[in-house]
Amino acid sequence: MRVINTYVKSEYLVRQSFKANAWFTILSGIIGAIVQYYVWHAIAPSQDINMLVTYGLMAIVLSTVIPTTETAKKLGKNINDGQIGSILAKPVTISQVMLGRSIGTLIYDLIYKLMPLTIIYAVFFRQVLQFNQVNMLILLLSIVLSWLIAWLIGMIIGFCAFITVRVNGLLALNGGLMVILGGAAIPINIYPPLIKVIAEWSPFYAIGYIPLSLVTGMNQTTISMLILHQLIWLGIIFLVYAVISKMVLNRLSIMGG
Amino acid sequence: MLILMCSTKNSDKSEHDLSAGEQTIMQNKIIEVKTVSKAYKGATDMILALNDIDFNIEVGDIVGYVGQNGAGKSTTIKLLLGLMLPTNGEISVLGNNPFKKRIQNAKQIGTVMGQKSQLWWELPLIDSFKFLQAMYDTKDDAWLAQLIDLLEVNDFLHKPVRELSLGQKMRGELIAALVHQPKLLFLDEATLGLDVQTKNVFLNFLMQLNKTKQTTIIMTTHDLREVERIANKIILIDHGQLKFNGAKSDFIAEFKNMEKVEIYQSAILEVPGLKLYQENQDSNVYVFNIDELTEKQLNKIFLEADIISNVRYSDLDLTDILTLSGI
Repeated sequence: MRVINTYVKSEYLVRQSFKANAWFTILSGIIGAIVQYYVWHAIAPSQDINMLVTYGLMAIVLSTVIPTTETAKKLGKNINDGQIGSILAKPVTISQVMLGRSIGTLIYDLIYKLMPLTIIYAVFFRQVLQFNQVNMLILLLSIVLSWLIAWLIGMIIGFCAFITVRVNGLLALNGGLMVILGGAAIPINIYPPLIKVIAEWSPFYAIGYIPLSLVTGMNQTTISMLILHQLIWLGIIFLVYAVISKMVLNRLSIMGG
Repeated sequence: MLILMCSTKNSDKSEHDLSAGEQTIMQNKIIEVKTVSKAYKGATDMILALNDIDFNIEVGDIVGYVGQNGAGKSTTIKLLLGLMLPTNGEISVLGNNPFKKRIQNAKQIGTVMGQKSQLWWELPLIDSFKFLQAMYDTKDDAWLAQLIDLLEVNDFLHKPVRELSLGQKMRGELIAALVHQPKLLFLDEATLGLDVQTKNVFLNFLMQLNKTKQTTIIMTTHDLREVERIANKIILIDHGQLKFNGAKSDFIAEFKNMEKVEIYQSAILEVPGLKLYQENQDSNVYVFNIDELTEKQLNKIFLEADIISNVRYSDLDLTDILTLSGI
């Protein structure tokens, strides 16, 4: 815990020295919201517009804290530049370091990206926002599970740098799958049935669509089943992560760090 | 200090009651490497980075771990840090298998890797020290203050690491490696690129640290003058094979009958027993065996050639010895 705490604090301070990034993320969130608003007004049936815009805006908010890309890029970079050897010379594990860094980033993003963006949306899109009545603790649990699954996927992609060297291609694939199967831009319930079924069987659904559908009420499945779905994916991804991280340690022994 | 601590702790145990690790430390050995080999998978075949090397390092040693690029120095350090497993052989560091007890050992080990940083680039230098103190669960601010004073980092303590010069950064790296008062310090090309003054501060500090805290230091470097200045032991490695392992004085003694003479003239002298060693812009350096050719005999030759005023004799230093050894 001490190690994780150290990296949480240090990463938060590191982030604070790059505040301009947060402003650009907020600006991009505002542009994204305007696009969502006008696109749905142009194509959606009038009775669904508010729900769809709400979904789109919440998808943007959620995307500011999903850690997959950041985690994979950092881990991949540390593997490629050999910094991982220097990290492991300390009494730490890779997962402690990366988890600490990701939580530090999360706290920073919550304060400097998510909160301002939420306030801006609440002020400027007050008329269209339409939320589902959901227990806040359940929603929080769902978001935490979503974050953990996304973080583990980021770690797995990062570890792949030992084999693929660069992880940009894998991250692009992950981003694409998040859009299609995770409902990062369009709600899955409006997909054709086959794609909808495929999406429901993917971890991206558990990362993106489940917490978003809890907020917007766009899911007919019971809340407990949705949380169970997330828990099962967390378990599966954790197992994959455990196997891959063990393989990577062996690989580390071959490559020499 | 380590011996005292262990002796006190185990004073009521007989040697048979101690674990293998405890016995190792009691015997003063902080590192034991037994017939260790390390092979990497190359593009087409296996590359043997280390081939059956054996050595021991004792508490309080300052070891110059010397070899050319690719000789296997960094591989050895990674093995000793427990970052990877040897292909064959056994390693014990601080009485433990370093791979299995990496985290436990890391609490007592400090590292400075010249090409890698353990500092937080974007934050003031002092923040890195504080974070490392927290990571190692130490609150010894007096020790940190002492390090800061001795390595003269007060002037840039609150500057972000990214704004520091290489010399300033490396002093910070050394403090970062020592905040937890490690028993064992690895320096992997830690002085690479440092100016003379910083290097001097660095080496003086290491000698003081070794003297006062009995910290065992293992340094890999290309600057053999550093090894000559502070190490008491040399481990020489070439293409993964151990070429020498012993006291620095023994190594130098092997060449005690060799001397060098620098002659300040551009023409190359042809004298039996005098071997051209180095050609410079204004001079040439020769080596000779004093059992075969004495300074007196040489002076006579130089006098006859009217170059006696252009001649300077000196003993071989470590760099010369390694160059002449072809390593």
